[in-house]
Amino acid sequence: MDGSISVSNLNVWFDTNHALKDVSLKIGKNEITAIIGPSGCGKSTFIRCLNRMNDIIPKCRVEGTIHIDGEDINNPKIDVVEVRRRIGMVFQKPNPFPKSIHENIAYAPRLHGMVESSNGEGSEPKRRNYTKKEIDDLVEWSLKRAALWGEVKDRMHKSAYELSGGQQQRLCIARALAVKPEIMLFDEPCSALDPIATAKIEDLLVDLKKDYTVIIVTHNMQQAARVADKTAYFYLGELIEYGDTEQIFEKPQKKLTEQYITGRMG
Amino acid sequence: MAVKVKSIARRRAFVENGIRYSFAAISAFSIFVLVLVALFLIINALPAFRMISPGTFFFGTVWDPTSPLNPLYGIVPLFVATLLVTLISALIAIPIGLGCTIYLAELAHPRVRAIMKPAVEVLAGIPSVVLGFFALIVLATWAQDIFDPVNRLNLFVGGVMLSAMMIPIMVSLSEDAINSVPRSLKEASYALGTTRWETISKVILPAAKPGIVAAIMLSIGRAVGETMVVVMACGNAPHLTFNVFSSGLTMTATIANEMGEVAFNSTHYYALFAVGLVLFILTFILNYVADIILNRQEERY
Ligand SMILES: Nc1ncnc2c1ncn2[C@@H]1O[C@H](COP(=O)(O)OP(=O)(O)OP(=O)(O)O)[C@@H](O)[C@H]1O
Ligand SMILES: [Mg+2]
Repeated sequence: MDGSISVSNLNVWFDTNHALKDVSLKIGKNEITAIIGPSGCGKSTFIRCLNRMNDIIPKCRVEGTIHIDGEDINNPKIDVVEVRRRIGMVFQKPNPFPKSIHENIAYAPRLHGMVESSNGEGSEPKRRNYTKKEIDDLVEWSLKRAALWGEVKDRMHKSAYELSGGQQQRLCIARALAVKPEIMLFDEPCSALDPIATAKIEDLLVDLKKDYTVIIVTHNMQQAARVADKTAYFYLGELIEYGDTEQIFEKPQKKLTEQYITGRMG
Repeated sequence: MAVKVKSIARRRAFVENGIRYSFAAISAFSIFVLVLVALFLIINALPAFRMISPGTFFFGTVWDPTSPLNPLYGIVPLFVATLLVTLISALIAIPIGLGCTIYLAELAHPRVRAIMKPAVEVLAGIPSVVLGFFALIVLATWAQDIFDPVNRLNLFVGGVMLSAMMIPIMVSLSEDAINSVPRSLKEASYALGTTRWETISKVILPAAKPGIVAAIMLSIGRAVGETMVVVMACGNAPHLTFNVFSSGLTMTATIANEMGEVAFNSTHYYALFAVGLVLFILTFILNYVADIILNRQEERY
């Protein structure tokens, strides 16, 4: 249970479109990894493989292995629902439920129940229902963790749609944290946000790193340089280069990477 | 240059106004027709209340317009028959329609959906007289064997057949409602590690609820107003009954059956218009409520 990820020979097709080609990489625990690359190069497709969200898309085919904590999540015998509980995801556009702020966060934990004990590797953890107090505490904890508590604590039962875009995005982060994942995936979480909201989320990412493995897709080079430990550059479905952020930005090994980073392409 | 821009702008304004006015004219025309029908009904129904007291019309429990000595025009038996038929068809059509919708919209394999959706739509296109004929010949016989009804043709048979007309309407309207739930909401729910059923029941259905309720109201409106099936399947005995296995006469069937034989300008003639007016108001309310509910859904996103 540490949140390390090891991907090997990952291929994805949408019908006949070969969207990811033979991607292999290892992501260590408690690191922030930035995924960069031009639009359509497969960044979203890649992170959606990590929590098997591509299953929902009818004509999508995934091949290759993805080990998370040593367990192959593409193994047909694995419980997809359990995989998604261990891996939180925040989407490009804030997508709160049409429910109250409190309900948005309480929704999933209430369905899952509280983990009482995990009986070691492989077996499903034992769960029981949350008490009302426990739910309230969990909601508060998640909102504090997502740096939103102060702004919403007096209107927990108002619609989540009354929040600003940046607040909604932090609500979505809190909602994902409430499930207590080990890994957090962010797909361009700041693309709809202003610099102040973006800065808040970046601070949050760095703070989350202590407890989670974080992967963030971004179009913003400065953002990748600011927050990420490692950076992966994708181009036309291929992983071109992967390494320490500093190295990628200062001494890229590949011509394509250099062209992209210096803005001569895409 | 400036002159040219101006003339282009003027031409565009002309075209756009033209489009706007023609659409306005079309919608004005449909409102005009509605008002015309309402006026026609009201004008022809009003004399009824001069000849029959509203008390006996609305609360009278006997509909016997052809009695030579004492013709009676009580709408209650007709109203009750309509209510019972609608109730039976709604009880059957709503759960089946809803189940069908959820299956088609969220659970079915795309290939299954590609076959089932057109099939449901074809069902919606079957002429009601064909369904009525089927009810008369086949369904009534089955019902006779199973339920041993008071009359072979009865309200139950009509209601069951009506439900076959309601289901396609229910399915196609409420499927629209479910499909209009943004994909991002479903993904949000799945990404939190919820099961398919949890996502359907806790996210998709609540978000689609106004559209589903509207679909239910509209299909009930369809059942209330449907004529051919009930004329052929319900037996048309104008007595007051709460037994769904005995024959009955609905409001629509009354008008369809009796309008052809009635003397022009007689009390009976006007009474049938009064029944028509009640029916009109009833379906109007159902459609109007459905519309309000639907509009409320659109504002939410
Ligand atoms: N649901 C889908 N159905 C079919 N093809 C898809 C689907 N999602 C993605 N693709 C295809 O897969 C390829 C990679 O898309 P992806 O969304 O991963 O790109 P991206 O790098 O995230 O781009 P962006 O920066 O614009 O978000 C594209 O060619 C796209 O057309
Ligand atoms: Mg993307």
